[in-house]
Amino acid sequence: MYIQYCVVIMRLERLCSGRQWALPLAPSRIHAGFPSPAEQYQHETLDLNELVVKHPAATFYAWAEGDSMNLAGIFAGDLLVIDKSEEPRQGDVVIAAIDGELACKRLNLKKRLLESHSSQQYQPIACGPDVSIEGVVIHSVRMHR
Amino acid sequence: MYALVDCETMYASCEAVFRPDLRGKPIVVLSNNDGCIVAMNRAAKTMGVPKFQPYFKVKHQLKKMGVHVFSSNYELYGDLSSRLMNTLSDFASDMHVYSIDEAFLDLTGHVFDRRKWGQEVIQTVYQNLGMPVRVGIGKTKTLSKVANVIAKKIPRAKGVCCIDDDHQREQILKHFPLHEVWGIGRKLTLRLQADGITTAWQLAQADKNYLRKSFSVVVERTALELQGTQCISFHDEPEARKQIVVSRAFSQPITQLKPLQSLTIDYLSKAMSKLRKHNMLVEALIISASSSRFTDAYASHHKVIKLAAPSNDTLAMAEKVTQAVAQLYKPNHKYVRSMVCLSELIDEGFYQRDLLLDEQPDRSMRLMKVMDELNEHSAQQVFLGSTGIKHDWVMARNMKSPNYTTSWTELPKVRC
Repeated sequence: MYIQYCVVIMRLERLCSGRQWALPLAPSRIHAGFPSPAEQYQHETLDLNELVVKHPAATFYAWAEGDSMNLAGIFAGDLLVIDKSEEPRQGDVVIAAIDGELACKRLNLKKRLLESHSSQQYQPIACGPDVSIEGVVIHSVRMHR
Repeated sequence: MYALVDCETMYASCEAVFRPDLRGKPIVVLSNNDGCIVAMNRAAKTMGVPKFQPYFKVKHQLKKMGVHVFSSNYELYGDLSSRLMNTLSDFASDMHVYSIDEAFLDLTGHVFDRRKWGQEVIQTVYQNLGMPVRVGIGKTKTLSKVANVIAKKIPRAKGVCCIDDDHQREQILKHFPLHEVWGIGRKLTLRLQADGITTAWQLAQADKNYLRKSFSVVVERTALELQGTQCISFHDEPEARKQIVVSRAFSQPITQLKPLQSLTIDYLSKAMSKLRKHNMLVEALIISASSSRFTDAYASHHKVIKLAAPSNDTLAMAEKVTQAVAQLYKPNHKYVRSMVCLSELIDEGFYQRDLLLDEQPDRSMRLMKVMDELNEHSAQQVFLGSTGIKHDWVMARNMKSPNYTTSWTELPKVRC
């Protein structure tokens, strides 16, 4: 019992430290008597990284600020998951370096423009030599509480 | 064939990854406690910023030149380094990480255009991490090191140099400075030059018996490697680790015995955990404390501790080091740095136990293991009470960049 208690604590600690997002698939109960036939399946856990991170070495996180992408579902305070190894495609939400600053915009490859997607009016930015695409935003995470 | 891939100005490059405004601008990185300049990027180099200068001496000059100065951010460099190694490991069947910013890749058996492969490595690393790397390819590890230096020096190489034919090897080695050959330092260069060997090519051509007898097996091996004969196996380093040194400057001068002891014990803990990581035992320690080199009252006091039996026990060593510091300590001295050097290391696996000696009990070996594991996995570190609870005097990192990749609260902010 003590050991299981410890395992739970360790999992919680890992969860809190943010290094590993491992959630037990089925919360294990403490049994007396016959072992449950489901016991052997309890090792499997869902790791959010599996779903969100395709290329761990090239994936970075950033916090979003501002409202220029709110119609794309990105709000201030959201966590952006950026994969730098992905090739940017038409319509991708990307991170670009504009005038030495990191910004999140929608890429219009055909017109070579970085566009906002917002309830407010924003000027599109031309992809000139001083603009570089830093990575593709493949997910964003909303903190509802 | 082997490739050596390295990031030329790793620390400075890391600082610009999340700061597009700094790209192409001069950047320098300072050592612990902002002591001196340890790294700079190309822009800073071309401006003539002097390396290894104490920071306080060049502070104003740097400001005038518009150089961006950073304290070392090891969390960031460490994380980007492991990402770099991860990315590189996809490019070869085997990899040997040589340091924080360089790795050997084994290309044996691959049939492909090696220069093109090198360009792909450069492009992928740049896209994935925003860091510039160089690739040197050669038949041996020593030759791949040579090729890597050439890739850096010759702009038309575009970051890749592959030494794969004998004529080209001759041309390169004839112009290659001896002291830049892997394993040949400045001292050996002087001795070799006195014997008439002045280029890497001459070293490669020299009689191997003569090299072994007049110099060492290491020099003989290096010469053979330059000829394309593999002597250093892929996962070997040319010389085994013979000592572990932890030495740091304090953020402010110390005159009291107690804080000097605390800090030195802290350095000891770091050195000992490194020792255990390499599965080694220590037989002798050198402890020293010194005052500033930049004052007239420069003095360095040291003490050697010989152990009766080899050990990896931080607790037992801490007791001895506390005594040693008390013995070397002189009142009215402004100490600015202390050092713990573990010398005479032996491999735990090769150590024969001696029942007659006062040996480290198994119990303490296990305790050390638990301590290392706890420190590895949790943020709240387990440390000796004698290092002091408040580590406020330990390190000044006043110009440290955020931990962009290892702390949720310090992630980059992106304007939407």
